[in-house]
Formats: sequence, C-alpha cells, structure tokens
Amino acid sequence: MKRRHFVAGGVALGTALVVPAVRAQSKAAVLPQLAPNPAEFKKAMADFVGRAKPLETGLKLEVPVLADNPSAVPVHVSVTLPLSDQLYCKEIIVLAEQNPSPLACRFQFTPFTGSAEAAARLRLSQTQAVHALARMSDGRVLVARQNVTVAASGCGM
Amino acid sequence: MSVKPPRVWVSNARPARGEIVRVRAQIEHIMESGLRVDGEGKPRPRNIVRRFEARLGANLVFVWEPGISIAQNPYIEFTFAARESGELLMQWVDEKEVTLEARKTLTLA
Amino acid sequence: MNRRNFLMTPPALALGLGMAATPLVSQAAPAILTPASRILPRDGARPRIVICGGGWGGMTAARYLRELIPNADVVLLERNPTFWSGPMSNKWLIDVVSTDFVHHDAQRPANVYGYTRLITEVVGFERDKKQVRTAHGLIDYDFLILSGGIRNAYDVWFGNDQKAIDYTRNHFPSAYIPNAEMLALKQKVQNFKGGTLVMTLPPPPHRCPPSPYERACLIAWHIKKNKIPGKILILDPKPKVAPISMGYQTAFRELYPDIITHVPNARVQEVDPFNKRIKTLAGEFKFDDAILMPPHQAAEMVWQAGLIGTTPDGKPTGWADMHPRLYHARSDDSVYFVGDLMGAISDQFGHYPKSGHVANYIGKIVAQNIAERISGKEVVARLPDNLCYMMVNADPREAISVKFEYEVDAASGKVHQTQIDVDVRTEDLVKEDFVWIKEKFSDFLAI
Repeated sequence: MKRRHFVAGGVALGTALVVPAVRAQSKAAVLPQLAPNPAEFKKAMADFVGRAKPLETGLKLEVPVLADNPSAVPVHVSVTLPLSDQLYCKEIIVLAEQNPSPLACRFQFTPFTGSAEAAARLRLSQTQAVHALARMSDGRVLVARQNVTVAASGCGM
Repeated sequence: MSVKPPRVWVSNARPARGEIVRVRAQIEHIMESGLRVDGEGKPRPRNIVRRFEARLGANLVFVWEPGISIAQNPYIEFTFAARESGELLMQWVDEKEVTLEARKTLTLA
Repeated sequence: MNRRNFLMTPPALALGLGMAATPLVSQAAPAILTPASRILPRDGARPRIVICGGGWGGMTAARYLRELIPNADVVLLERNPTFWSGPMSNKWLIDVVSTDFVHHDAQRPANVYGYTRLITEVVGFERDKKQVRTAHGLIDYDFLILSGGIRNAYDVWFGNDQKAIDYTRNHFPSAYIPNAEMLALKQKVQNFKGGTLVMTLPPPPHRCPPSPYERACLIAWHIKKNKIPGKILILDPKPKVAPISMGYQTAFRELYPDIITHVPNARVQEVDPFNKRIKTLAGEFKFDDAILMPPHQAAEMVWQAGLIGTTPDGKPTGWADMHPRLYHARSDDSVYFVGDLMGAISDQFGHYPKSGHVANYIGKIVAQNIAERISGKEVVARLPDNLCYMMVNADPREAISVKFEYEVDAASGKVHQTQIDVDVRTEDLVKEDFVWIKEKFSDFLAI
C-alpha cells in the first residue's frame, strides 16, 4: 500500500515571519458548470429506484433547515425499520437536487454491519431539497427529503 | 508541511457483544471538485476522496463513496454492531490513489 | 592628592539625560509625571512607532518591528504590569494548566527584543500632532498601532446606570478581558455550590467566538466531576451554536446532558443583576449565579482616537474604521489596527475571528507593512489565517478545532473565508493545542 500522504488544503504558517503575499493566492473563480443538472438528478433517482415503488417511511433524513455554512452542511441518515440478519440495508444514497453533481455520496452496508446509519457533510451551491434513498435487502426502496435554506455566516458575523 | 492525522473517535473501545458502536472520522483533504479555476483562469484538476471503507478484522463493515458535493475535509460517521474483538481498520483513497489509514482496537467486554 | 577629584560629578550624571541629570542629593521633591509631561523624547532620526496595547497582537508587532527595522524606536504602552493570556484561560479555570502557564512576565520580551515597554494608561490622542496622551505624559510617534482589544459594552444593557454596571462587573464578571476578572471567575467556579449558572453570550462579532462554549463545557465538567447539583444555562443570541456547531452540540448532548442547556435566539433585553433576573427574546430567566458577558466593542482607545466606523444609517459600528487589506485607518494612514478591535473585512463573513491567533498574525503583517513604508518599498497586502482548539472534555482530555483560511476573490477583489470545522473530538487535538500555544508564546513572549 502506498504511504504517501494527502496534501492538506491550507498554507502552513508557524512562527515564520514571512507571510505569503495575497497576489499568490487569489481565490478560484466559479465556472459556469456550477449550475444545477436536473437531467443527472432524475437519472440518479431513476437508476436507484429502478422498478421498485418508493416508500416514504422507514428512512430518517436529518439536515438543518437553515445551513449557515453552505460549504459543510451536516446530513444524517438512518434506517428506522427493525433490522436482522435476514433484513438489512444494502445502501443509502444522498442527493442534492440543485447541485451541479446531484449524487452527493453512497453509503454501503453489509449483513455484518448490524445497523444502517451514517452522517457526512455536503457543500450546497444554493437553497434546495436534499434527498435520501435506501435500498433494503428485500428490494424495498425507502425515500426521504428535506428542504435546506443556505445562508452564509461565520465567526465574525 | 505538517500533515494532520485522521481524527477518529469511537464511542466505546470495550463494547459489550452486539453493542452498537459509533465511529466518527475526519481527515483534511481539499476535495477539489474540478469545477473551480485558479487565479489564471485554468481549471483546478479534480481530486476528491473517492472511497472510504472500514473493516473489523476480515469483515467489511461500512463503505462510503463520496462525490464532488461532499465537503472539504470530509467527515464520516457510521455505526455497527460489535460482534467480535479485532482491529477496526479505516482507509481513505483519493482519485490520485493516495491513501490514508487509521486503526482502532476493539475488545469485547 | 588633588582634592577636587572627590568633588567631581560622576560622569553619568553630567550627560544630558533629561530628568536623570538632576543631582542625586539635595532633591527637594521628586519629579512626578503628569498627563502634560513630555516623555520619551525623540532620539534623532530614528523612526518612532508607538503601540497602544501589549497583548498578543501588540507584543508581536513590537518584536517584528524591531527585527525588520533595525533603527526603529518601538514603544509599547500597556496598562497591566504582567501578561495574562486569554487563550488557554478556560483550561486554567479547572486546573488543566497552572497559573504560571497563562501568566507571564511582560518586561522580559521587551528586554530580549529591544523595545521600550511603559506601564501606563492611554487617555487620548493628538493625531494632528502625532502624539499619544497617556496618564504619564505625551509621547510622539511616526506610526501608531492600536491593539487594545475590546471593551465591555455594558452601556448597551444599562445605558448610563453606573450602579448597575458596577454591580454586574463586580458580582458577575465577564472575565473576557485579562486579568483581574479571571481570578474572580476562577473563584466563582471553584466555589460553585449548585443551582442555575447563567452565561450570557455576547452577540457577534465578539472576542474569540468559540470560547464561551468551551468555558461552558469545562465548567460543566467541573460540576459533573464534583457532583455539584448545578446546571448551566447558555443564553445565546445566535439562532444556533456556531462555529463548530456539530462538535459542540455533540459534546453538550453526550457529555453534559443533565448540566448544559443551550437556549438559542436569547438576545438580552433587560438585566436585573440585583434580583438575579434576565429578560431575553427567548424568555425570562432567574439565576443563582452568572457569568454576564455583555456585548463587545473596540477598546476605548479607538473611540478616543475618533476612528470608529459608521454604519450606512449613521450609527457607530463599534469597531475600527479601517482598510480591510492594509489594516490602517481609512482616514489616517499613520494609524494601524491589530487584533480584536479591527473592523469588518468583508460582507461575506464580516470580521476576522477576534482571536489571539489572528492578532499575532496581523501583528506580523502590520510590522511588515510599516517596514515596507519606512524603507520606501511597495506595500504588499497580506492575509491572516486562524486556528483555534477548544477543549470539550477534561477526562479524557478531548478537543475540537476550527480553522479559517482566507483568499482574495479574483472577480470581486474581496477577501473570501473558508471555514474548516473539526467536529470529531479527540485527544490528539489537545496535544496539538499545546504545541500551538508553545509556538505562539515563543513568538512574542520570548519563552
């Protein structure tokens, strides 16, 4: 296995006196493709649901109604149906409907997992609906959605 | 440059058999979406963490496949039932095939 | 033997050293300095930089000005005889660190780095004459740095009711400004017998945004460990815990579920310190004891200098009116601002975090900018970053962290903020916190 390390995002500054000049670190601008992609959203939904009839119970989706840091919006999903060795959750996907790449992530579980719960953080390009879809081992598909309003803020506001 | 280790928190390193163990893990990664350009207007090449997996001993417990809508410095939380003692191995891999890993020992009480 | 030799004035006293030239004997009365005295006369053509406020930012600027401008005459004015660190002080409240860890000799760095430190009170400015007025006299400057931190804006709560202000300050100290109130708060925590302890959080922008939550966690840990029948009620003007929302909320819920109650949208409307009642937009509360943290504003010195910003509708912003990239006053480029008293930077995120880390960083940048101006070089705009660790659990010792990165938006030319919350509480973050503080202290305390 390769042991190279990830390069962290920031500029390391210790006690060094030399502070990097602004000119060298201008912010990346946004490309036009940051627009929503409704076709991809529909396809991702359809691919996951297949021929199943989605059920609006059994899957809990938690996202804050107001996201004050749009670059890290917490999302939490959990299957609330009773699980057993026979009935387990195979996977859950999270979709951000208006993002340029709507399929945010995929969580996969195994019979060994014994639970079906996960949380991560999204970056949301705008106010929109977040969706979660779960596929159970018996073929059932569970769905949930939550609207999120995006508003910037931070330490100094 | 100092590279920060993965931050990992486990609810109980000595769980009872069958107890639901919660794991929280976070690493520093730029999660470059490929949708941004640099100061000269050139696109920044995409590179995100494409897969995270957790194994307890030989058993696969959990897999996460992030897309570009996942936040920088990805945070992941999951749970599993503690069925046996062993080493919980967590591995991250990005699109440049760079990997990072963390381990926590679990001992059934 | 020539008797005259015995009567000669010692050579040192013969030199023109101002007051010191007065013979040691036969002094009728000591020369008492008054605000009208002229002190620290200029030494030839050396550029004089006067720094008002010797905390994290001011001491850092003093050190780097001396290093970058070899002939600079750097004068640091500070009211406190010793240095007391705000960062790490929450840990000191519950004895995770000792008093020696947060409390330091402040004269030593002046001696080591070669600047003049004067313990005095700044009382005003004659900016047209480039003079600072102090309790001990007038001091000339070429460049002035204001780094006096914050003031407690009790007047927002009490108007000019000085009795209520004094009672609140004396009984429910905020302990946000080192150093006397720190001791009072520690005694309050250590002597807490139970009941409801209310903490009012200042509305943003305020000094070190995450630290009231850290304070709540560590006091809650003390309550839990000592089985004190007490609760902490956090009255927060914000709609939710922020920043590091998830990390803090998880700590409140998992570590202190029966102790900490967080009340959002609880902007203070009325405080009755005598009857221990407080009215907020989220309801009325009674308390047994309290840490009443009033709103923060820029330190008095910015008001005295007439350099507070103005809102579009003509009201004072409460913070310095400054160039967001060059840190000098908009109306007077010989005056620089360092640290918590700085004004807003960008309409995306408002202010830089009012933290020791940022003050230290800006102290270095401003020293560089002044050095560039004195040497006739191009002035380069530079940006800080910010890093904070917050201990949320003392056994095991676990911390969370938040990092802010800044860059200039290519399109708008404005400063853009990226916030990185590390919400997973771990023991290694505590270890990194101690590495961080050691590095910072060694940067301006010469330890």
